[in-house]
Amino acid sequence: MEDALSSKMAEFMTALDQVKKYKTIVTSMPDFVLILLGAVVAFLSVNVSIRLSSLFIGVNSGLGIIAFFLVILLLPAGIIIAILRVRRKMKSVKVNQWKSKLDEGASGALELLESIQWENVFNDIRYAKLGFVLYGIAKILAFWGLAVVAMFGFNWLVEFVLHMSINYITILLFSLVAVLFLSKNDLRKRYEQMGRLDWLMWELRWFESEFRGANFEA
Amino acid sequence: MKKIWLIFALAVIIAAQLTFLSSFYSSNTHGYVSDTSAVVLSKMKYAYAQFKIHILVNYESSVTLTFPNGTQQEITDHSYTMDVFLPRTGDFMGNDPLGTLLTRIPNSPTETDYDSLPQISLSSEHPVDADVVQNIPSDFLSWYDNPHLEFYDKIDLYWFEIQGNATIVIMGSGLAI
Repeated sequence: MEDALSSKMAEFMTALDQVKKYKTIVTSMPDFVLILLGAVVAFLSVNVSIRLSSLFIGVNSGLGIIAFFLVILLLPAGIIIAILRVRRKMKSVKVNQWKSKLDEGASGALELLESIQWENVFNDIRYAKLGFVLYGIAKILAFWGLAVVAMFGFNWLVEFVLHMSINYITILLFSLVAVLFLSKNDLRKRYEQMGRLDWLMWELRWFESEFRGANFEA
Repeated sequence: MKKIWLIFALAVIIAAQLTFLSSFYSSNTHGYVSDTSAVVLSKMKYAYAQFKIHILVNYESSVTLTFPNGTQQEITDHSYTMDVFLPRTGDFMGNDPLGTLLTRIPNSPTETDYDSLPQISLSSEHPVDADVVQNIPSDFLSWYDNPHLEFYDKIDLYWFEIQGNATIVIMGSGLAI
């Protein structure tokens, strides 16, 4: 009975650690957006500078092409830095702090159970779900933007070499479809994770009511 | 809270940058010319324009360029590149779309609508234009020398004549502000 309680408690605490990690996604969203917007501002600034210098100074077209491809690297760099920043924040969340308490056995497990502030836990789960959705949307939008820029670069190359151009709406739609297709595993993972969080919420609610009932009887 | 303001500021900067970027235009064209042809570069007065013209001359032949002032230049190299910059010479005078693309080449200025400029397609949506007109009649360019054409107070024109066989590639870019 004691072992069952401890293992169930370990399972719950691991899930709650996960929730804590997901909750940091919400708090790191402003940084994520700031880095992305900063990369876009840098990309557009260099783009404007290249266009102005090629118009008024007459930069060599070869140099212009090299500069253009270097500029395109700014956006993926921004996206990678933004994602790494969120991941670093998630990794910095302290987990398994409850292990030593749980090692004490049933008394430790009960102590842990009593220390749980259920309303806060439910709020954290709601936050975690929100963060998960927002992060997913922001990631898809960022990759879509990147795909659109890459497609415009490709279109420019096609126009330069073959003197043909691709319709802008086609570029936007094709990029979106390509990004959604390439992110399908991530989307499925995200969807399953949301389901798991919902399940956890219900299980915790049940656990909370059982615990309160048990407490009352005791 | 400060981060929210920073995000707002960056969004405003991006909107301003995109608006400025939408003022840039490009006009690219290419064509094979033989006998007597013309390159016609045009822009709205309120735009800056830069054209890079590549002339690829057939091997063992040459082409002669004749500029508006009568100067002639013979090109014997296989590849020749020239840059033409047309500065801003006037202000934006409102949205008045100018003409449509005219593909016909009149035999004389009096034969068709006098106010039409063949091959030029300029509007507020397309303020920079480059064209290669093949096999021009002898008096074709006299059109462009007529200062009384009503479009001249809105557009700037530059042209030169090419005699010989060559491939012309023109890459034009402009800024309309």
